[in-house]
Amino acid sequence: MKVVLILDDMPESQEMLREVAQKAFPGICSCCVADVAGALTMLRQFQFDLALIDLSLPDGNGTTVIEAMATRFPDCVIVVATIFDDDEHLFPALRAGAHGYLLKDQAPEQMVKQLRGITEGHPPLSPSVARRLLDHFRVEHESPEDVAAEDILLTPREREVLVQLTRGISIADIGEVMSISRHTVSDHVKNIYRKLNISSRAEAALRAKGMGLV
Amino acid sequence: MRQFLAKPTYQLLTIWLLCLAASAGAIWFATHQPSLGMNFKVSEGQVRVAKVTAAQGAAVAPGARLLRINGMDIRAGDLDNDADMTLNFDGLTAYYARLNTLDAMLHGQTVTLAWADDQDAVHETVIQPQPRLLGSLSAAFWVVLLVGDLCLFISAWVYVLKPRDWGARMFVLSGLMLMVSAYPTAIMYSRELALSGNLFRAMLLTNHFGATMYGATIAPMFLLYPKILVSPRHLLWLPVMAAATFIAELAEVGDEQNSIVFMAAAMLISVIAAVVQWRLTREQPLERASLRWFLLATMVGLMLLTVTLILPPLFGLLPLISTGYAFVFFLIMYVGIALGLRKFRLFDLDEWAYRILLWMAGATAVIAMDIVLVAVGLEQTISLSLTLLLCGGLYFPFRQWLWQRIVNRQTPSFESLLPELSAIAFAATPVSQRERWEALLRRLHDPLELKTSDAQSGAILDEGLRMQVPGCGTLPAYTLHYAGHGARLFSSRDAIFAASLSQLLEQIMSGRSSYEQGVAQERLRIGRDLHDNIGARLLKLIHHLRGTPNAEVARDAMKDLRTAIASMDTRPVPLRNALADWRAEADARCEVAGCRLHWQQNEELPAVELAPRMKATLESVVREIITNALKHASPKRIDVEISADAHVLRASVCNDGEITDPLTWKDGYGLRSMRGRLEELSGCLHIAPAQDKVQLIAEVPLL
Repeated sequence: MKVVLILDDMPESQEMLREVAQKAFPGICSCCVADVAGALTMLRQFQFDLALIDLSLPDGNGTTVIEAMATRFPDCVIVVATIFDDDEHLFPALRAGAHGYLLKDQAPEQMVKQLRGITEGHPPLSPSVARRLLDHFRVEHESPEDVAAEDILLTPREREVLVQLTRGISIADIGEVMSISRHTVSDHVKNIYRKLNISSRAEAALRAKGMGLV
Repeated sequence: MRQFLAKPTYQLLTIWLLCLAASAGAIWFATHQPSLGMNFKVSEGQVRVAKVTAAQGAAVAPGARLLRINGMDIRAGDLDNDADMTLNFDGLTAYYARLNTLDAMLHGQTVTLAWADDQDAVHETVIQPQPRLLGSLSAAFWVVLLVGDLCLFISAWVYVLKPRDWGARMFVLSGLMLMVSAYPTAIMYSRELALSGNLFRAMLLTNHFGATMYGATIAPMFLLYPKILVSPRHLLWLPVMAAATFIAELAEVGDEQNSIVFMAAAMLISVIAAVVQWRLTREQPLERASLRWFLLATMVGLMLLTVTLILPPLFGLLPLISTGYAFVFFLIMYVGIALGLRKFRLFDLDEWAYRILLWMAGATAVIAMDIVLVAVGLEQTISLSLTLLLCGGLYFPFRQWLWQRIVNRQTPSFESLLPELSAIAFAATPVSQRERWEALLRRLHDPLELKTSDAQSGAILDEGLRMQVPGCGTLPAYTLHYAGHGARLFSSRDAIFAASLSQLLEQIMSGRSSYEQGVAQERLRIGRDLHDNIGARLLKLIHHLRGTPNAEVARDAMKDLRTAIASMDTRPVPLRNALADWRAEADARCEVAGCRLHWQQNEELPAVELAPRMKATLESVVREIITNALKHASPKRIDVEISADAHVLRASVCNDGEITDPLTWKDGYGLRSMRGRLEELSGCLHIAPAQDKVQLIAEVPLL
């Protein structure tokens, strides 16, 4: 992680997010803007690895920026920074290409932890949101043939982890339930994401649903 | 006039009026014959007085034997209306001559009757013949007139509605021919003692013409309906043969019974055609059911006719029944077909065909009453108004009642179904909506089978075996098979009714969905207001309070705000999901506080759903308990134990932190509000002090 774009119109939030990003990825270069227009200008000038984007902005919706970002930098991790996790706000953003979201009212230490998860392959996405997303996009899950193929792709252990993952249990707790270390769980998760070509808990939940695991 | 006659109703009305006019003509003729004021009958080979019917005949005792008129011997054969069945051409010629003589006498100023009483004493009475009284006409006369009119009317009714159907065409021709043979019979039956022999001959010949032509049209009917077995062109030889038979009779050539032979042949063809028709419908239960009725009605009539009237003369026997009464058999046939139109869709007609009849009945009632009132002596203008008034007051309500009885009997009205439709539209889930709608369709039509289909509109399929009901809203379209458990066919009326019902349901459903949309929009608006105003301020507060203990209070407030907004969602949340949310939140908070969360819950959770409001309340209670534990006890570990069955959800939380005696706890805002919120859900909060820990137990009933 080298460059982060922080888009938030509240100065205190901007400051807090900058701090959190610095703590999570020491030495990261932060680029702060307060509106959609500013963010789009930045996009044209610099390259970003991470973006923390607020949704309600004075000149529009953060989703516009997410879309542009996802198209321009496919490898950039996009995280929504918001105070609400309701479907109404979040789903369009996740649809537009956001990988996860942060609740800005959390203790900063917690946000740091969540951001660090990105390097381990799991962007911040609460199980509750992942599950609602699943309900929301239920109709869009893939055809049975693909599902069968994916099912074979995963080892029984990985399937077990996937099931726990969709239940909204943390990596550490999954380890406890399955009597394995959290690092082993992390490895399983990475393998699952790689094999299924996904990058979030939400997608994992969708696939698990598609496979009939949950 | 041409336009007037283009409409089936007017065509039928015209035919009906012509029938009535013909009847009136026949009655006029009958009542203008000279009458001796008595009716005669033949018993034990003697002509006897059956009944005295008018003053001029009062001198003769009933039961008296009639011997002579103006010196001419009277024979039993003179009164034989079926002389054509027994006499040869020569015999008939002599018969006509006697009738001419008698008729001439009856037309004289006075007639001298010689008659014998019970004691065989011979009397002579001079009578001045008077015009015949209406009441003295024989029952046979009326029966034949009625049959002639009704049969033509019924066949014309079918024809005007199906003018292009060959079966209907033959049917109406047969009805016409039946009338042609009925009216002369009626005239013959109208005589008291004699008619002009020439007239009698003409009537007899006309009757024979009608009868043979009837045979030449009824046989083709079976050949053309329901399936066309032979091209109509190839059936022309039948009327040609009938005409030939008739001309032979007219010329007094060949056998006297030729017309009877022709009739018998026509009946035979009919039966054979019927058998073939029957075999052709082998695989088609519907057509067979309809044909069964058709054949039952026609064949019963024709068979009775053949057995009683046609066959005996061929074997040299007397007919079993007088020709006049044999006409009743035709009535069986035509009325049978008329009754079968609706139930069996004969000639592809449906109950709407009856509507035209009710209209006709109204028109007839008006005309008849007008005539009666004028006859009674009212002025024409007054009588017409009075007629219209009476018919309007009596007939139309009666017609309405009759229509309901015939057609609408089992169809409930929209009004009575409205509450049920609303119940369907407002049913809690799409599944129960569907169940209720299916139940309603079953109740209305009692089908053997009800299947979903992708039909776009309501329709009758397979001649009424199946009916499509269009889908509405989220409900699929249906195909209903076999109405009334197979005892009934679906009518076009059923289809229209079902389609309207589904349309109405769709309207109610869209009413519901716009109501729900309105509610959702309002919720969204409230949510947005909370989000934009209070949320942003709270966040600012959180930033300002960073690092102070009050920051946690502000954070909890923010969480509660989120919970409140989420509770405005209308969808219930499965218990499993609610627990996952609470666990995730507790997890995150304990992690920040450096405390270990130990969460335990049943492996098998009951499949219950929490209403959003209930989920929100419990969520804030769990949050409050965790907050209190973290704030007051600084624990190393928090244990949450969830147990749930179908009736109760129980959450027990305890921690290993600094223990204070719960009795010393101040019942502060937190505890009070938790209790209040749980009580709202009919639940409760226990505080169970244990030796080394404090356990808080929240319990709520699950419905």
